[in-house]
Amino acid sequence: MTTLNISGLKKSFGTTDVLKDINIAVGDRGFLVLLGPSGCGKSTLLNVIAGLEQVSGGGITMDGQEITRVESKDRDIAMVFQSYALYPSMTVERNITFSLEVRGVPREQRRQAAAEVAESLQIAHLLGRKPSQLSGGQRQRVAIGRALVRSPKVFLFDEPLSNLDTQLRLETRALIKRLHQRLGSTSVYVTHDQSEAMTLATHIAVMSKGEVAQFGTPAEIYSKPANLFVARFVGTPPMNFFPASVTERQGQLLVHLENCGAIPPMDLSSHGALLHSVGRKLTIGVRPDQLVLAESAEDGDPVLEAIVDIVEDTGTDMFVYLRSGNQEFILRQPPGLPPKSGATLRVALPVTNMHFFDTELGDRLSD
Amino acid sequence: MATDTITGHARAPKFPWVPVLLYLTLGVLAFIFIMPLAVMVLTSVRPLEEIRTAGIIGIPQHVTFDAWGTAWNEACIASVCEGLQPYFRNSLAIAVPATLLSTILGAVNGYALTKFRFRGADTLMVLIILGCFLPLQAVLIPAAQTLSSLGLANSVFGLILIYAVYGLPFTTLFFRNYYVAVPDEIVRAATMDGAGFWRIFTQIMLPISWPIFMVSVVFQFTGIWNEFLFGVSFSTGASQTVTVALNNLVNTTFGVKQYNVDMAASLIAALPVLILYLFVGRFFVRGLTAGSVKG
Repeated sequence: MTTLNISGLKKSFGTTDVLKDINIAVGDRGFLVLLGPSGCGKSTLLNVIAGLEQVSGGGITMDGQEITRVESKDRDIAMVFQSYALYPSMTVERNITFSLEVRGVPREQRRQAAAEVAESLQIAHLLGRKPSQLSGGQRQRVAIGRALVRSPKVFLFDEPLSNLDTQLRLETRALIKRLHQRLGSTSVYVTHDQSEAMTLATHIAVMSKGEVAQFGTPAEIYSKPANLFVARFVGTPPMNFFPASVTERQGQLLVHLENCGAIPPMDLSSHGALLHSVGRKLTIGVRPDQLVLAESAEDGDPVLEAIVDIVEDTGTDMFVYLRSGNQEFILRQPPGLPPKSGATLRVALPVTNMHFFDTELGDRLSD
Repeated sequence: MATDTITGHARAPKFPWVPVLLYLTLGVLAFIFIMPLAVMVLTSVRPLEEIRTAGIIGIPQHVTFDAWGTAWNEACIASVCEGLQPYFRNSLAIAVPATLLSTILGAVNGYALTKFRFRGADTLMVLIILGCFLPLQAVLIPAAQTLSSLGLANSVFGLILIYAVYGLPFTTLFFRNYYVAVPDEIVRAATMDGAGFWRIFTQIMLPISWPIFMVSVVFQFTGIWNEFLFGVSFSTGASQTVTVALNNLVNTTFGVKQYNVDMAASLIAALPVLILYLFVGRFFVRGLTAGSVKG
């Protein structure tokens, strides 16, 4: 099994630095997801790992061996592309076995390999067809088969589900997860879809502007976002942010919510990390599912009076868009009788589930 | 009552003015376009006697293909009386290799310029495309010097070289525009599968290139077959191309003008291009409009 190490990696196109000092390690059986908005450099990073782009600095090792200058075809890496990238003139069988053909594997062996792979992907009946005769989902299965047939050390996925409709996306996502569970091959997967990242990854690298904003397990990324960017990017609907400030009075740390009208300051003396932020701007983040209605709140949690703007009922959840003073935020509720637009709700902000960020630096204030 | 208004049985059928006018116009235009060809064909099958007495335009009284035979292998061009046939062969020997050469090189160019991008690829592309706007006359003298220094003056090979090179800007443009629409990811996938520059070209790109290949072949063959200026400048005597020979045949007959032979010779000279269009014309149109390749 394979480990992949990326250290100090840089990539520039002309004067633009697309990747700045990337350090990531993927262990054995690891499934690394590079998550970020478009233009953050995640696809470039994948292409660099694939050997399709040259690095400007730093290096990549696979199982401890330096591969930074090794040619793409000699890296023992296979890739699945967003646009499937099947060879239009070849049958499914030849598409799947093209890499074997290039390596001079005899026809009989190729045929057998194609049959095995097709069997595992349930596309055996399609082997004689051309890509143009396949649906999107079938094409992506063929593309996955093309990667599988080589039993590579590392699998790369470049937004493989983006061109599929919702139903197929879920099916194919499950297929990829199942394959990884069975084969345990080290994988690197690029996406801008955080639900794909959360469901597939053993580790996520959230990327922003050519840098890794946070590297960690999905649980870490979700429960302890390292900065405002990650907090904003991960989670649907996104985390609510409340501008705040800290003052110190007689040994007490008092936090004031700024946009919510006149509510008494919270005593957060127990949060020692806030001590360094006295006098600075602060952003408090609370996920929509961790806000509670005031009736079920604990003592000491600040309570906001908020007016219902709109309600989105998804069937499994109800998202209530609220406004309190100048502050807008979202509350998740179990399905039920939706509150009327314009009604007033009393919502508590549970102190235990608050994330504190320095507004200017964007960094999480550790707790 | 209601059903009556819906079926509208009281309304008289309307005279289809629009289609009638359309077909009338098309018919008239088609007639005008086909006229010269018709006159040529008709004249070529009339005996010379009949043309002299009844005038150059007319319906044949008795049909004879003598003039075609004469034009093919008896008519005198300068002092050689072998008809168009040897020059027809010259033209084939020039047009076929020059067409294939420029098409294949154009395909490689287009492929390299779009899928294996290198520093300065765009500038190079612009320079190549500029070649499309060079008039033949402008390169006549440099071409003559190049050919003589290569020792290819007055030979079939010289003309093959000239036509192939002169066609490159066009064929490169065709293939570049076609390959630009092929997703780069296909090439990346093939690279990761271990295929190199030439294998990707021959096994992945070429098999999907036939529509634009047809366009390039038709365009190049037509241009080269019908070309006169280079032909008349760089070939003499036995190495003349068919267009040059036709010109000489029509201009150098002694005594009575043999209109039927002239017409037959012109038709013979035009035949390969006509046949090419008949067989691959629809591919030509399809290839011009075909852009993207769906994977």
